[in-house]
Amino acid sequence: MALRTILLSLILMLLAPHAAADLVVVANPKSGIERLSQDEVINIYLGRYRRLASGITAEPVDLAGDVEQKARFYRRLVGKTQAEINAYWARLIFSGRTRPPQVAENVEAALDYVAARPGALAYVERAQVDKRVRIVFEMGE
Amino acid sequence: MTGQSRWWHGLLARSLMAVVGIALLMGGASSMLVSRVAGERAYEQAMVKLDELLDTVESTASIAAFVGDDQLAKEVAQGLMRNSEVLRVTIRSNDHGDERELARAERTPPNAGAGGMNTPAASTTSNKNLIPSVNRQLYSPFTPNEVVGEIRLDADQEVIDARMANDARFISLLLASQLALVIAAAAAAMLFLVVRPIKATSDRLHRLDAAKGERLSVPESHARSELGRLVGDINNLTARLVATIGIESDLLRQQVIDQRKYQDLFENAASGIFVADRAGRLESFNLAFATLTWMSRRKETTGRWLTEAGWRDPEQLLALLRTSLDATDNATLEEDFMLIGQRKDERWLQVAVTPLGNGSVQGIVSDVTQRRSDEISARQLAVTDALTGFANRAGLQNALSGLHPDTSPFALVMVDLDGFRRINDAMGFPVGDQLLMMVAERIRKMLEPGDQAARVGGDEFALVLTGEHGSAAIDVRVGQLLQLIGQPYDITIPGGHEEIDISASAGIAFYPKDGADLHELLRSTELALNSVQASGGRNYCYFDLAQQAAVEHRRRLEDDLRRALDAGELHLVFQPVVDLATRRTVGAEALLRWSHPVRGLVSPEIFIPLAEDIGLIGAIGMMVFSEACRQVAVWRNAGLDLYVSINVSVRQIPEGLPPLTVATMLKQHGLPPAAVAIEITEGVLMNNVGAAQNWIGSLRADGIRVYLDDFGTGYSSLSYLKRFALDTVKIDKSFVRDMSEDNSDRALVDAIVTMARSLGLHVVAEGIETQAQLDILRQMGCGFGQGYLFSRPVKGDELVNAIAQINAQQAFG
Repeated sequence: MALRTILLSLILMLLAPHAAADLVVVANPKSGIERLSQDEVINIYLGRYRRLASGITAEPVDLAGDVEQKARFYRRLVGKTQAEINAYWARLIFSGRTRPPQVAENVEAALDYVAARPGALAYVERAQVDKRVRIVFEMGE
Repeated sequence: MTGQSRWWHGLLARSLMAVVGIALLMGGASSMLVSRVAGERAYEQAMVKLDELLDTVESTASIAAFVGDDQLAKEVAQGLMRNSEVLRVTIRSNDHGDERELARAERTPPNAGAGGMNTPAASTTSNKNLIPSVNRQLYSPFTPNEVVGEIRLDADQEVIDARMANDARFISLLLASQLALVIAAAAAAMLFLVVRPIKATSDRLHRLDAAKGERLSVPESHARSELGRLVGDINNLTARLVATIGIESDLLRQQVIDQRKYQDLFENAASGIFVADRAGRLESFNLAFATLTWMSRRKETTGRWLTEAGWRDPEQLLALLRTSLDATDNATLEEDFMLIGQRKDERWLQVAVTPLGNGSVQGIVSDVTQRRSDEISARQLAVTDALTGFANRAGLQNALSGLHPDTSPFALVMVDLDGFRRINDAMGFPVGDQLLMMVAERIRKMLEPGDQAARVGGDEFALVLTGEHGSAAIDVRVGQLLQLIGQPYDITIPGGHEEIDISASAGIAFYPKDGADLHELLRSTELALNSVQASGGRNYCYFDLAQQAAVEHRRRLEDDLRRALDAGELHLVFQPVVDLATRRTVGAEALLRWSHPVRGLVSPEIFIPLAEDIGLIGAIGMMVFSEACRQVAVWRNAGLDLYVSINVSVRQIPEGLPPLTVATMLKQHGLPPAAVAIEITEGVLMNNVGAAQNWIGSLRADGIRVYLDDFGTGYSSLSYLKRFALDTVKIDKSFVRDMSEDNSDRALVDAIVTMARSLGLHVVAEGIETQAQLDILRQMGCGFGQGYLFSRPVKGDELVNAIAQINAQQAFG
């Protein structure tokens, strides 16, 4: 499966280089959020802000496992590796006050979760965005 | 020195104290410095530690701040509190200005709980100053520039202080032990290197007897150190000191000796010595002074006065002291002072004072009594005739010096003994003196009060007769006097007595009639006396105008004589001298003539003494000699073998006719010495015998003959004449004139001729006038003669005729 994913990614990148490189953060349209700044995305994903600007509790969704999309997201967002992000969270987990984002098994689950909960956020490929969610942050290359 | 020194005076103690003091000072200062440095270091260390601590928790803290997790922050803070240095931890978050404290952990100060008195506020104020603390801003783990909070660490001051004190204590201990070691080492070095050698040297110096030549030895191994040099210097100094002390003590000894010598001199001096101040207070005086001044020599010499002695005029003596002290030249002044003793005895002391420069004078006193009395008697002698006790001429002069118009008239009588000189010559001076004393005694007998007598010449007495002075009274007195003097004298002679008769003459002059002063009076009496003597003496006569006229006459004659020489009134005539045996003329005597224009021919017996008196004899004598030479040269050139004999006055010898001049004149006229003979009289031989002898000797050495003229008129004997180198004697014409058969004069002439012959002298008889005289003389063997029998004196150019006549007489004879 890993081989397949890699192959798929390679194919995707070859076939649609723009679409493949374009990660976006999506939110529930009822969240009251139109756009998020990169800082807001960072603060929300890394546990600093627990609420969105509209007052709704923020529920960021992370992808489970070491997937390429997740690594790319954190690299692009804060310039850190997955291991570093894990170490970060490891320290916070001990205090018990701050929790890491929800984990979704895959992009579809993540989209589903966003579509279902007004305060949820998820990062997906632009190509994977559907009508249920609203793009609030576009990650530049 | 040893008795007063304490241990702290010692070199060791002092230097140790100095070292300890300096060490303590330095130790204190350095320990202060060290503790300060230690404090600073502890502080810095604390800061570093805090920094390091922060480093370890920074990332966690920043995460806690980032997410505002106070639990995590608390865990971080408590973790930090496990470090003992940390007093307090504060973590704050800052989310876009929204600041809040996340965690705060603080240690309770140990005192706060125990005492219960110290409030936290108090404890914070106690170390408010220096709470080391570290603030660090916490950045977002994801956006490096975003500050998300702050962490602050406060250090625990007490912990730091304790560590600091610990460090300081350790360092101080180390320093102290080092110092102790250094002090001990310095003390040991001082003791062995400096103190011991110095003490040894000092002890040795203490016992050293430099006078015995002992010297310090240089301490071992200090030959080149300062100590060695010090010892060397001390030895040099000692040597010099000993030498100087030696010289000093020698000087002192010499001084003591000198002092003693001076003291001896002072005490034993024959002269009296004193030192006195201006007022005459004696500072010291010697034995001789006391003896000389008849002052008692009590033991104390202070508080005595110069005026204690019996000075006749003490004020004058004090004046001498003052003069001496006031003089600026320090000269010695001397003066004689009379001292009158208690028994009225007199003593003359000469006092010579010299200022000493300190306001006092030194006086030398000597006894000049003898000198003073000698002076007095000498003064007395000067005016007294020793033989008769009368005044002498000077005494008479003194007595009559105060003559003035108011002086009472008096008579001056000049008494002269007739023929006294003959007696003196014949019988000797002792007899003459005896006679004079007896005459004086007789004169003294007839003196009246107020009269004075003086012996003014050998046998001349001058009497001042006061009182009655009329001629009659004087007649009586002088008559009596002459009569008294004329009495026979009984003279003591060796081996018996002899009776002598002598007469006296007197000339009398009156004051003021015959003279205004003694000189004039004496001259007047002399004139009167002369006129008495001219008439045979044994009488007296008053001075009168005739005598005055004679004097005037003489004076005019003197004037004329002065002119006569220049006027050529003096000329020579020549009387031939004939060889009695052959009647041949052998020479001529030059005789001086004065043809006075008024008086006619003046006798040489008158004008020659005159010329001698007025000092003209020298010039006249030279003229005579020169003219005689000229004349004899003329004769000899004419072929006449003649000599000329020239009379020389006693006054011309020796300066008036020096032998050199004689020789020169002979040479000028081309004459041999034999052409001239000099005739002198006995007077020459009586006066100034030595000079006359030399003069005669010089002439005869030149070959000039010397004749003795007028022999027999004086008193000299032929044997006396032998002492003079003479060639010829001329027998005076008075003997020749009176010579006849069987009288004494003939015998005298005979004796003269005989003796002259035996003495090898030629004889010329003068004044031969008759053939009988000539015969007698020829019979006696008299060689030569001159006189009217042969020729009267003729002028020079007439001599040839005179000789011719003599030769003609011979032809007759």
